[in-house]
Amino acid sequence: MNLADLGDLDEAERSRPDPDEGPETTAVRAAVRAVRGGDREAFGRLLELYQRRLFGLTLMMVRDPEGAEEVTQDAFVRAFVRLELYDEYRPFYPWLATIAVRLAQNWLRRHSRVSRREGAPIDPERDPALTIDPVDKLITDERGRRLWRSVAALPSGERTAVALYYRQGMKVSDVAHALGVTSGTVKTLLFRARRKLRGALDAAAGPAGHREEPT
Amino acid sequence: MNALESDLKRLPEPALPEGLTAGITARIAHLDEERAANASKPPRVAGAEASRDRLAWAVALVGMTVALGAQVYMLVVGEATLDLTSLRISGGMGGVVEMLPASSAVAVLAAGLLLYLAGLFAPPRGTGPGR
Repeated sequence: MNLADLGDLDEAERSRPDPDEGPETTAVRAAVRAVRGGDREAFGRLLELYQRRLFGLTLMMVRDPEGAEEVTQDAFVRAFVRLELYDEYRPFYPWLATIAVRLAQNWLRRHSRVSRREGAPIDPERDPALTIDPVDKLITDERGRRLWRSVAALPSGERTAVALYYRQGMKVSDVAHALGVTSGTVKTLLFRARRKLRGALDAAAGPAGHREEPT
Repeated sequence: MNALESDLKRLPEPALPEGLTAGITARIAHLDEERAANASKPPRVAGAEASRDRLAWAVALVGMTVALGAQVYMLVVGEATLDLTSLRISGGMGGVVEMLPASSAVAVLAAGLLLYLAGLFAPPRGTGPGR
């Protein structure tokens, strides 16, 4: 394992915008206070802001559109019920994502049909857990679908870490909290995921489409 | 940041399934209505459990009353003496045994004590609002 790869994550994180500032934070805080004050309609504002992002996360985790819809619904309902526990001076999405990750992990345990050996190469074409057609309907771009399927073929911890860190912009510490692991483990998961994805995407592109990337 | 990481940041977000928003909104509305309905009701006490609790207390009270009453009766009619200086009735265990003549009052005393103990050690059941 190249320690420089792990260190690169710290550098990337330092350059990210602070999620605690900005108009979105103000809107979230106002919505949360309104809901706590009895205005149930204000929760719709939080739905608008986060449901698509959360659905993307749960779909990546459970790899089943109906399951993802069920988990997303459950996550928002649980967030509504437990809103009193949310600290409004901390970012809302990591708190919501943590709820969703735990529910998705429970869903996976209940519905587990395929066990993937840790470290096995990615083969999205042969993975029966990847129901291609429903995902194809939800993601229309061919290149996007190929990348999605490659990430979805990773083991659960790695694909969740990739989705939370890269696509959803969460900090390593927040990803660690959501997954219930240490920050070091998150960095390891991301390192392994990148290594597998490079191999899978390069193999799919073929010799002519090989991408040059720094080692 | 390399090309792979750039691509991962732009991983597509799938379209929302129809009905997701409506489903969440409906479940929250239902929850909210349940909460409001429960908040307006007085605390509900399970009928059968409350009756059992009342019966247990009644048995204990009756037993205590009977036992005390029997003892007071024996003191009044002279079948027992009360020595406050020694905190014993008729002194010592022997005195206590002698103090208890074979009479109907003794049987009543024993029955009262048994009832009291039965009521006292009846299984507890919480029926308050916190339940």
